[in-house]
Amino acid sequence: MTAQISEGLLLEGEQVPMMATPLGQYFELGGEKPEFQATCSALWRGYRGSWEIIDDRLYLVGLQGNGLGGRTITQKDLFPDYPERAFAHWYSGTIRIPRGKLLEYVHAGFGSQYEQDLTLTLDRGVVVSKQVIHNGTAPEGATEGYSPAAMTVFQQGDAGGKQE
Amino acid sequence: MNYLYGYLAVGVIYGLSVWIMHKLRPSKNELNDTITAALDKAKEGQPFSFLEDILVPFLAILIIVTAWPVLIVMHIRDKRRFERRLDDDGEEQFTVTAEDVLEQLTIQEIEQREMVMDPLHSVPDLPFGHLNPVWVKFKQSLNEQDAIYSFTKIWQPPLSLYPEEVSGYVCVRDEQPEHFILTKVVELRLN
Repeated sequence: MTAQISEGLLLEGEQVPMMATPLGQYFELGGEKPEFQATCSALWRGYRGSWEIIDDRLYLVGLQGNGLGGRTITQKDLFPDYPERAFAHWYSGTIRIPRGKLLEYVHAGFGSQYEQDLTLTLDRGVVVSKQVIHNGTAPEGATEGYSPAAMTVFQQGDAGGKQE
Repeated sequence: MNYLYGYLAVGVIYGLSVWIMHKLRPSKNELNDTITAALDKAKEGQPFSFLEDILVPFLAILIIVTAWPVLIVMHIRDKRRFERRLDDDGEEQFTVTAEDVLEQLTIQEIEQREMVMDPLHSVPDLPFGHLNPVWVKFKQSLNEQDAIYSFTKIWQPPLSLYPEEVSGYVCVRDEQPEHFILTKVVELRLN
């Protein structure tokens, strides 16, 4: 188990980590899925999406993915006619945006807890509610900003990955 | 004694080969840059630590050199497990039953209700938007006698901690729900 690299979200002019993978739902609903390759244990999904919320609507605005043989997969591969902005109308669910200092580091998924969580609930790509959850106050000197603390990097082009 | 030296030499070669293969990785890749940035961020502001900077690397090298057969076995096991995850036909599949169906609809009604609008024109002006090809394929699979029903079902995916509310349209053939198209999957987290 390894903490996972978050998706990126531009929210009200600020770049924040996004603890949700809306593209996973796109693939679940039948959207064509390229053969992403995991290149490190902190990114099992093999890609990192960049998102933006404009007028309460979620858009995919960038994609960096690794394909077979180290091929780069971009948004253009998924949405050829929408290489710069695609409305994520397929996504329903919550998006967690951690804020403040680290309360508890969890080395799995998006499990780490921060002082606050901004939770956005979306219905078919549209934000329908926002909630701020206060999880506690971190001790003096606690780190700020989300990041996995360790990971294993695999060899390129090896689906299983070799540990080092 | 020669056997021991030979065994340790294989460990050194194994460790070096993994390290060289890593160095030969293509580096001109935005995603690799993201991963490197995440690693740098993880190390950021961390003072020198005997444990992390000396002891852990020393133990790692020691383990590689002395226990390389175990690492190779673990690697093969992980690789198989990962491949099973990519193509796991053994796990329980989502199905739609007669109890899940809600309302019979025509193709026209469905296409009307599934139009996606966006003020920034970032979606095709077609039913189901970016997922229109999935709908087209579904329509092509229908026979003349088939009926289409909407459905909603709560189900527990085998690899998930949380149940999901799954909605969509199902083809009902000879009064039996058959293949379907999904329109919405919502993870039901317990808050």
